[in-house]
Amino acid sequence: MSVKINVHPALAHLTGDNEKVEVSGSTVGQCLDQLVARFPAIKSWLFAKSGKLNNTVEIYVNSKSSYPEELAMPVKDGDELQIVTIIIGG
Amino acid sequence: MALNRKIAYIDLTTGTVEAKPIPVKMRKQFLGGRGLDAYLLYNHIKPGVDALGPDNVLLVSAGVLVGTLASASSRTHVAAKSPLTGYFGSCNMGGFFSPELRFAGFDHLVIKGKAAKPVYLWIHNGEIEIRDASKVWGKGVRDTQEAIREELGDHEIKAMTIGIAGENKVRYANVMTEIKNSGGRTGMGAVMGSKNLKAIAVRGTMDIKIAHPAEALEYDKKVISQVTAAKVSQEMGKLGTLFIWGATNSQGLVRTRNFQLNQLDESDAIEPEEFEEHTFGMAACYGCQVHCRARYVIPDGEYKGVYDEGPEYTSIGAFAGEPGCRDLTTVLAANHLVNDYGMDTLEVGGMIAWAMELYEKGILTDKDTGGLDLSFGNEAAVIEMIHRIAKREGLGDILAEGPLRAAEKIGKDSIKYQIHVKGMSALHSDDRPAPALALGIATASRGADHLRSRPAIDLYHLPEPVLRQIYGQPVPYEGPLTSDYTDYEGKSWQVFWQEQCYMAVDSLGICKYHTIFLGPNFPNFEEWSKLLYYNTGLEMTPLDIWNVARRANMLERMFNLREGLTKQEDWLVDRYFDEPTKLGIPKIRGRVIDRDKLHKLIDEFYGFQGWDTKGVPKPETLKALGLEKEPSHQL
Repeated sequence: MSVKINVHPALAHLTGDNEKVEVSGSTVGQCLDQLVARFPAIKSWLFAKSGKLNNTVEIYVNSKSSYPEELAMPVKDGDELQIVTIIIGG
Repeated sequence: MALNRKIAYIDLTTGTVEAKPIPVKMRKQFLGGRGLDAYLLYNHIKPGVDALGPDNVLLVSAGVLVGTLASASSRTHVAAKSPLTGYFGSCNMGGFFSPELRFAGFDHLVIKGKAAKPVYLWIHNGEIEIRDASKVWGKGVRDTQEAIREELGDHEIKAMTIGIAGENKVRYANVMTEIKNSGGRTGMGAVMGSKNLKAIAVRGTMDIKIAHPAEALEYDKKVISQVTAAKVSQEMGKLGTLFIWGATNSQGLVRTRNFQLNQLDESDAIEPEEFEEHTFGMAACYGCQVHCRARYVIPDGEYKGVYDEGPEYTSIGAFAGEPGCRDLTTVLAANHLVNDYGMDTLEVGGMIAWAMELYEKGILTDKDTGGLDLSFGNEAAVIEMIHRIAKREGLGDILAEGPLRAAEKIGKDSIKYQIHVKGMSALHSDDRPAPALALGIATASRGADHLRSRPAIDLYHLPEPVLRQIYGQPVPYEGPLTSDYTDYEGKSWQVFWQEQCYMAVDSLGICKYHTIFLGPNFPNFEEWSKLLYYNTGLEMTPLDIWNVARRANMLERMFNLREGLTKQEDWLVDRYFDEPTKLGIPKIRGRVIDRDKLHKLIDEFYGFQGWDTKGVPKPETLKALGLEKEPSHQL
């Protein structure tokens, strides 16, 4: 199953300057694990020490937030994930 | 009825009070809160009055949904001509004050003149008394509130008060309710102080009759779910706004050492998780389910054991990032002090950081500081300067005058290092990598302001379809929109749209944290239209509410133009253009705002507003909004 991840442009330096990365997986968590396997430097930006998503990171699936399921949310072939950072700027 | 609350005209010089109903026609034009205040200020203040003189007019108001079943309907708005900027002065705060004001029978207070001696207003169930405040003059914010409750024998009284800073007419003094609800920015506390008005105490038991109670209750449940289901709300409910500090600092989006750097290194001691150890639960404003106000006790130092609330993300920036400090106790103590003195966190932090850079550059010397070492990172100096500013002692007396007047007094190129717009200091965020944020602070009606038009969610990197859904209603928009916050495309529309969004909720009396400010799926014009109808019976479409916002924003602009504002002041200081960011992630490093591109954004923004190339509303714009005969003196 092919799933596209749109990386936050501010984090693209951690993914070899790729803002779009193709992965496969049947949940958000599996897709992110693949992303981390290819680009380990992004792990600490995405995940807390507990293994959950960081409190300032949100994953959108096909333009809808995956919260509260987050990592457990199922995805299917052709889905598009977007890494969103909750940085409000004030 | 929710619409039967009155407007009261209080003349402190003569001691007279007059109350009138607010016609429904005016509600449909301006709703209430900040919207109707824009009308009142434009109509009641003569051009060119001294902001600290008796001819200035102080407005205190509740949004039209305040105290109803609508969620987070807690907001109080205060307006006057600003003693800081000379332009539209305005602040907005949460808490419980304005719901109580409505329960006491009033929506808007128009306070004129100057009392001969310190007084406070006592407002209760349709009555307004002017009372002697000599016993509370000289007291801090929390002692004043407690003393008034004692004097009046009712501990349910809500009081809006000034602290020592307001009495001393510090030009960025706040009005405050409870311990930390701050009406900050533009110095409304100084205006109160100039009128010898120490406090406004309110208590009411007059019910607000909901127009369609069953529907209002049911619909509000939907709105509450909409807000509380979002991750950002859940995180806000754990620590408040400061939870974003770490990630924002990591990217390099905060100003540090005044505006020399854009990241604070070795800052583990002020990370949110460190703060968590000293908190014990969260508090909320009236009718809010998010609970974003942390409660804490200062763990050590001179103020050990003192209880306070906050600090917000802004206080971390003001008392750690900007002055280059890394001590949590300093942040907590400084937050406590500005709360009790009644001063604007952002302005205090900005002025101290500016003075530190001047000290570093030799523009200020030990002679100027009275021997105080104003080096960056000196936590004790930050605390000491807060005292001196509030009490107007030594250099503090100069800094209390705000960016422009202080720079004029100090001279020697000191203005070059001020980070302000229209004479008001900017938030500690570094907006050089984010053109939308830069455009917002350049053009906001009250100066460098992140709460008037900032598309805060621009930093999220939301999918474009989400942006289209937000920014395409209630007025269609098919122009460019981009998820990349470093881009310039489409940002002028986002800022224009957010300006109407924030004016709408400031007029309804709803907290911005229940809007698109925080979450892309949060309540919007569509929901507000229904909330308005179910709670008040007022039938207004989403587009009608948009037009209320347009009308009120236009009057704020007209007020500023009447006071002498020019297009040149819709601009940023040179450092945004000439000094690239040095730190942060690769995407952030080396960023400046491009002058030509910002000019283009401003031109587009003026176009959306219906202003000419000089930033003046066109006659046809005023006619379309029904403002061509203002000031019309209808209220």
